[in-house]
Formats: sequence, structure tokens, C-alpha cells
Amino acid sequence: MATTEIKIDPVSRVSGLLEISVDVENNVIVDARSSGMQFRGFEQMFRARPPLDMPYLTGRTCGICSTHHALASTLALEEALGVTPSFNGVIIRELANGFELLQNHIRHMYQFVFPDYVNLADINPLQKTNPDTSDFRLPSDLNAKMTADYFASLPFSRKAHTAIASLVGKAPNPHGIFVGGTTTNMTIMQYNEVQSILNDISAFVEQSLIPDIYIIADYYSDYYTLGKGYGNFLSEGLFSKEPYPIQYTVGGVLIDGMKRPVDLSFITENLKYTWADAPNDVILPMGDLSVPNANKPGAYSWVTAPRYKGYAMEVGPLARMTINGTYTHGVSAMDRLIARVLEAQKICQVMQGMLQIVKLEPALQMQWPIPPVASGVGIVAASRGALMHWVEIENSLIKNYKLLPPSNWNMSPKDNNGLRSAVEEALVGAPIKDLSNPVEIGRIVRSFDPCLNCAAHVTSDSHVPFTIGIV
Amino acid sequence: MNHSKESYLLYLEEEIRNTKILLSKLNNHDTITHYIQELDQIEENYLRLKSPKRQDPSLIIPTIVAPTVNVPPPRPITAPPAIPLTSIPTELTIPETTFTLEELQTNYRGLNGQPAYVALYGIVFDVSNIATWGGATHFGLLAGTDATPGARACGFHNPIDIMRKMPAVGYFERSPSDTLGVSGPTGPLGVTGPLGATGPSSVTINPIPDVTIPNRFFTLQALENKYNGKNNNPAYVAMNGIVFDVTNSRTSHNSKHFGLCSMEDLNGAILPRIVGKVKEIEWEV
Amino acid sequence: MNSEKCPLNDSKPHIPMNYINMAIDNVRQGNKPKMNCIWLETSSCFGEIIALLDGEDPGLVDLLTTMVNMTFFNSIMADSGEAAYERILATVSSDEPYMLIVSGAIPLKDNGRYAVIANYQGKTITALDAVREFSPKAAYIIAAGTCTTYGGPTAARPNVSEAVPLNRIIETPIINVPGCPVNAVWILGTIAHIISFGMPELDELNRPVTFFGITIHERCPRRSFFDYNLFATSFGQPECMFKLGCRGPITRTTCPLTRWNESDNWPIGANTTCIGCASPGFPDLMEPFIRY
Repeated sequence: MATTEIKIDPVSRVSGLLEISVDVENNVIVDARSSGMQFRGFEQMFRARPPLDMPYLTGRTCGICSTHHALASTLALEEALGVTPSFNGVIIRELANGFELLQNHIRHMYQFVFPDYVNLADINPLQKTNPDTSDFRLPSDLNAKMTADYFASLPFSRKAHTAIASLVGKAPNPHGIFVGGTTTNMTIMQYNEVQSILNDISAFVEQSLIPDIYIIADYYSDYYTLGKGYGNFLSEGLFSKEPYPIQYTVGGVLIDGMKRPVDLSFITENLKYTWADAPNDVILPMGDLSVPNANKPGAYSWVTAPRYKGYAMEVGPLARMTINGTYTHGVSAMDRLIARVLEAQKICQVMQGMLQIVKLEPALQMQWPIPPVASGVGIVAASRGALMHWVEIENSLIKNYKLLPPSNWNMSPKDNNGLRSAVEEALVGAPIKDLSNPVEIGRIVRSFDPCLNCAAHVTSDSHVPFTIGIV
Repeated sequence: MNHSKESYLLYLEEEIRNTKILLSKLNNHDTITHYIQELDQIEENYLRLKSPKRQDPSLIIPTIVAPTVNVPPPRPITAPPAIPLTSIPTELTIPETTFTLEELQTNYRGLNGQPAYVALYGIVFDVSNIATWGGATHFGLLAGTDATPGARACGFHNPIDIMRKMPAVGYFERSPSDTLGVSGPTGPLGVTGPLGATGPSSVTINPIPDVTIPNRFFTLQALENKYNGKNNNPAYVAMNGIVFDVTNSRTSHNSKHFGLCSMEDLNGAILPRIVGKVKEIEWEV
Repeated sequence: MNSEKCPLNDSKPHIPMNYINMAIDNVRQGNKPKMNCIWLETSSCFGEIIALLDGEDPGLVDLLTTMVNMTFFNSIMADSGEAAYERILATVSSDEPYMLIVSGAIPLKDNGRYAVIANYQGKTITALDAVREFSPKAAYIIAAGTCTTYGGPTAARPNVSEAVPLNRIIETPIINVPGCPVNAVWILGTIAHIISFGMPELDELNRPVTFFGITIHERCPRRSFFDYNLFATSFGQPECMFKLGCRGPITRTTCPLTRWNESDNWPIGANTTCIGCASPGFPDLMEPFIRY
């Protein structure tokens, strides 16, 4: 019973640098390791900076989901500063957030996932070097339709970012999401542009995105049985405000079939298999930082391993839709893809409702005073799952700023007890038909929509504490 | 304090003296050339100030004078009026006012409607309406401070050139411990010694009590082998002929620093206000 | 400035498409074969790829079909693992000229382990290894984004990964195209210029003058507010934001003309300050981004 190790590095078509290695026995995966291969130390970088810079700076964590970071940062700051945002400002930034979700879901499906199932046109680098061993099952007419849809989707994901720019200035890294709501003075011009783009994207989702994923599900129905993971979900609220004509979800956790509200105090970050040191290999989300250590024995990822009450949770559209009760089909790689697409449809509906109640009025902005000592939390439903920011202010500067992005949950390494993460557990048990062409691995991994820029932000405290000089 | 101009002349004399001392200790040709250029500029300014009634037209420096603005503003203006694009050439004049560091820090930070003044090379400039000083900051330098150490990290600026772009409003009164502009409220980099290419045996020393640069010489080999920050060695780095102790600098990690202040790479530049106080080393033989 | 009166301003947003059309014609007439291209993503937020996908006229499809033969691009390529890495090796070892585009800073700590781009035949390939190995034979090297050009947020203090901009690693001439992220117009326009006209005119920081020659302040729609001392006191107001810390006067980009994402909007239009994301020193020396 020989064990073969298969290592894939780079795992392409994810956001960031990812390595996946699996142990295979008798053509079945028996163990898996998910490795984030990039580390910048942003949490350490945020320290001693002006708090109001954070909505701009945190977006630089990740280019594909920067709007979510700007929003989470703004929420955390508003709690710390004691600011209640204007209702219209909240709608405008939630619309921008919604467009970021749509941009991500469309791009994930077509640009990231499709090349695993569709033999794309002969345009470098979109075609596999060895298409014959890539397990393409679509008949040629459907394959041609999918290829056409791959290119047809590009204007729509682009337009989602045009809508973000129209609302809040720029994408990636929007400017208009800020303490107090937004800085944008909403006029009929923006309203028109955003409404028109939303209509176009909604039509595309209905006419192309949803049918396309079901076509793939038809021909790859074995993926309903692959890539389950644990089935323990964590979800945050999304578009759940009272006056919204259509609401989406209030969130919660689902563990072993039992649903409960989210309690942040149950979250710890394990470091045993992470290239970082901390006392007892554990840090708390809003607590001490760890020290990076690229030579730590046994470690294999820059990503920390967050656990909720010791459980390895999965986050993302499937988590949101399952906890919400909207999606009941099950848990698998294919279910994840379908849930993501159906969530895009739901988001379009919710945003149409929001456009009915948004007003054309100027922004509420003033000179926001920074208290000398403050703290706050911001939680946002990001494309890949729950995104959390914690801010702590001292001397009116950032004392501590922590991020817990969704891909930390999904793509983490094992925790201190050897418990695998969601993606690692999802890989275990999957059969690999052809060891030299393990297409199953990429398909399962990409169903999570990994983002390793977000995930590996691990912190460093290797410097002597310094005093911040206030001038 | 009405001895503003006299104090400033004394300050320039001290700068000239210190720069000459430094030059006497240097061996590296490029460094020497650099400091000779500085010395020329400082001496020229000194002569201009000392004898302001020169008739040579090439020595007439345009001084920027803010005119009155005729457009009635819709809201109250709290900052001085804008500076016009054409300046009125006059002789070199700096108003006979002195600003202390405390005054700058309290009243001239440019926040909440205050004017923005900044001290550079002994002269205080009004940057309230200078476009490159948005928010009363400029590449990490702050109004309401003596920004000379931070500005020096980008190279010497002739105050005359600065005066062509923004109005001078007075002299900066430095505290007695300041020399060579290496001063400031938030702590400068510790200065430990000039770099000698061949070592102490080939250079003569003129000790002057006021010099804050300790009388130590470091060869390149010594820096590489003994002051490289590894294995618990202290970390020293040479910049422009001066050796700095960056062992505890926040922008150096494991004795490496990759944010050199050039126009190309200003990220992570050694900013005195961020780094904090660096330990001054003790004398060794 | 009224674009009807100034032909230079009017043509600026269309310059990339003009280059593209020339490039397309060149390829169709068989004058120039498509140059090979490797896009290496190192340590950054991967925003450059999003900006690229956001490009329109030209966009991603134009880039891949008419401009270059992209053999390696981690974020969109079909291959993974060793098959993907072998594409780089094949491109570099062939006799055909290739363009190397790098997006992201290069970490140096621990021999570059802080950004690993591949594992090939048991050997870890760091971003540092990759740029050192694949740049000498490149016909053109483009540094895309502020992280690659100046260090950017990846190298912001305290720079734990000891990341440096590309020009600290390689000696060969680099075309710097900064921006956080780089605007699609700038990167695609630079690539198109190279294909049709060769090396673009560069300033003293090796940035194409077409896109980085003039400060935002000189073309800002709010300039008359600045000239008459009418300043905003917080975000959300229509006046000049100089007093709040706008970095338009020191940032050289075409943002006032090309705006963002094919909308009419940009940071100033959203009533917020320019934070100098394409300037040297971003973010450390551009902070605070807003100051009351």
C-alpha cells in the first residue's frame, strides 16, 4: 500500500499563491495539505497609522475583494468612533458591496472554474497543454456555448466594477466607503448608470450563469459526491436590514446540524502548522500577534488556522445559503458552485430592492474626531465568506488591527490537534482516477474560491515595542 | 528674541565649520564632492545675508510676497491668500521674526484652520498654500515641526531654492543642543561616526566640543564584518559619509533596510518621527 | 480644460486603442508575430490582474488574442503545477523574444520564502529566484503596479517580508507602470506601445511619459477652487481638498482624464482625496490620507 504524494504548485486560477499537496493510497486521497505561499505581514503594517487611513489601506490586502475590506474597516471604525452612518450612505455602500460580490461570483465561475470543465478556445494561456487527459466531458456544441459564455461574461464582471466606481470612485480600492456612510453625493446620473448595469447583470445571471452551471452539473454529477468537507458552516449577515424590500440572511453557525448565532469569542487561531510562532501556538483574533518563522519544523503554510469552538468551519455562499435555509441540496464541490451562482441571483434581487429605496441626496460627512482610546469590530459578508476586522486605537493611532478573512477558514492548514481545514477535509476521500492528471484536486479546491492574499496576512511582533511620537 | 538674523548667521557659521571638519575627515571622493557642494551653497547664503546690499543682479533672489486677494470668499478664509505665479524680485529678505519649536507645534500645524509653518535649515516657511503640502504634510514631513532631519534624508536643500517656491516668514530658534540640523522633537537617528575609507591612521582630527558626530571611523570591512547586525552585532549603516546606528530602528529588520530615500524608493524611508530614539553607542577603542 | 479646445487632452484616453489598432493591423499583415509574454505574479494583492480584467477597449481578450502570446499567467491559465511552470521554461529557453511582466514586490527575507510561485520537481521556486532567472533574456520587462515599481503596500514599514521593488533585484532596464492598482489604460497602453512602437518614452523614474508625465493637480476639475482658496473641510464637499491632504499636486497620472473603470468617476469625483497611490512613497509617505 504505497503512498504517493502529489504536489500542485502553483494552483492556478485562485487569487494568490497556493500550493496543494495530497497523499494518495490506492487512488484515493488519504490526507491533504493546503499551503498559502505568500506572506506580507499587513497586521503589523497597520500599526501606528492614522485610523482614518484604514478603509483605504486595508483594501490593499486583496485586489479582488477590496470593497469588502473597505466596508469592514469602515464598520469597525464607526463602532470605535461611535458614529452612526446615514441610512442612505449605508445603502450606497451596500450596493457597492453587492456589486463586488457579483463581480467575484461571475469571475470565479467563468475565469477561475470553467477551464477545469470546459475546453476553452486555443488562446494562450486559456487552454490546457494536454486537453485529452483533462477529463472534458461536454459535447462539442455545449463546449462551444460555454466557451462563448466565458468571453461573454467579461463585460458583465467589468460592469460590476464600473458600477462600484460610479458609486464610490474606483475599483479596486474604492474611496467612497467611509466613516459616516459614504462620501458620494448620489445623483440621478449615478442612479441611472447603476440601475442599468444591475439590469444587465441580472439578465446575464438568469440567462447564462445559472443555466451554465446546471449544464456543468449535468455532465459532472459525480462532483455532487466529492469535496464535502465537514458540513459545518459559519455565516454572517448580509443585506438583512429591516427596511430593505428584499432581505437575504442574518447569519449563524451550523455545527453537526445544530444552528446557533455567531459568537466571536469562540474563535481562536491555531499556529502549529503555520510558519509563525506564538505562546502555545494559539492567538486570539483581537489579541497578541505572532512572529513569522519560515523555518518552523512541521509547518507548511503562512495561513493561520482559525477554529470555532475547536471546529473547522466552512464559509462562503454555500454556508450562507444553507444556514439561511435557501439551499438544501447538500454539501459538495458541485453544491458549492451552484450555491454561489444562486447567491448571485439573490443578490441581484436584493439590490433591485435597495435601488427602490435609495435617495438622491448628498453624503453625510463631517470632521470625525478620533478618541484617544477606542475599539471596534466590523463584519462583512465577503464573496468567499465572513470577513472580520478588529480595530484598537490608542493615542488616536492604530494600536492593533487584526483581520480574519474568509479564506483563513476554508484554506487553513491543520490546527494544533491535527484537525484538517474545510478544503483539506474536502479533499480526503476523493478518488483520483489518473495520478498523473489529478483533475479532481483542482476542481474540489476551486469550489471554495480560494483567496490567499487575504488569508496569509499573519502578523509579526519581532520588533521591540516602540513609542509613537505624536507631533 | 530679536537677534534672529544674528542667530541665524551664527548658525550658518557653525554649519560651515562643521562641514569643513567633516570634509577633513572624509576620503571618499564622491562624498567629498557632495559636501563641498553643500559648503559652497551654505557659504554663499552666509555672504548674501551678511552683506545684503550687493548690486550684482545675479545675486538678487526673488522673494515671494503674498498679495491681497480681491475675490470675496463665500466662506470665511482661515488660511493666508494664495501665492501668485509671478513673484516680485527683491533682495534676499527674511522677516526679523523668530519661531520656537513650541510655537510651531502649538499654533502652526496647519490643522483646524491654523496656518502651516515648517522649519527647514534654520528658516521657517509658510506652506499653508503650497500645493505639494496638502494637509500640511509633504512626503512624511509635518508642518509645525523642524522638518530638517527628514528633509536631509533626501539630500541637502539650499534654503535659497526653497525660498523661490514658498515664502519665508522668519528664523527658527533652535535649542542649544542642536547642530548640523540634526534635531527635532521626536528623536533623530543616532549619529556615530563618519566613514573613513582607509581608517583612522590616515586622517587628522580637529576636535571641536560642539560637534555631535563622535570621532569614530569605520572602514567598509568593519561595517561588513563587525557591525552587520548579525549574531548580536550592532547594525550600522553608512549614508552620505555618516555612519548611523540602526540596531533598534523600526524600519530595519534583521539589520536590513530596504527603504532608501531616493525618488525611486521612498517606501519605508528612515523617518525620524517614526523611528524613535536610537541608542547612542559608547566609545570603544 | 475643455477637451474640445485641446486636442491633446481629447486624444489621451484613446491612445491605447490607437496603439491596439496598429498592433492588430501589424499582426494581421504578418508584419509582426505576437510576442511571447510571461506575467509573473509575486507578492502583492493581485489587484493588477483585476485591473486588467476591468480593461475595456482594449481588454483582456484583446491582450490575449491580438497583442501577445501569453504563455504563463497564474490567475487565468488553464494549466496548474508543473505543466504551468514548464510553460515559463519553454518560453525562456526558446529563441523568440518575450516580454516579462511582473506584478508584485519581491520579498528577500529567508531567501525569498515569503513568496513562492512554484514547486518544480521537488524544488521550491521563490519569486526572487524567478525574477532573477527569467529576466536576463527578456526583451522587455514591465513592472506593473506600485508594489513592483516602488515597493508599495507590500514593502510598507516595517516591511516584515523585506520586500523590495523589482529594480532592486535586476539590473536590466525596466518599464515602471505604477498604480494601486495600475489602471487598465496604463498597463495595456504600455504593452500596446511596445508592440507597435517599441520602447515608450520614459521619465527619470522609467515611467511612460504618456501616462505619468503630468500631475493630477494640473488637470484637476477642482483646480479653480484651489486657485481661489475655496477648500473643503471634510469629505463629501465639492471644493478643493488640498487642506485635507490631497496628493494630486505630487501624483503624476492621467486619472482626471481616464477616470476609473470606464465610469465618469474617480477618487476626487467621489469627494475624497487623492492618496497618491501611484507615487513613490505610497503608502508611508502619502499618509495621512485625510487630515482635518
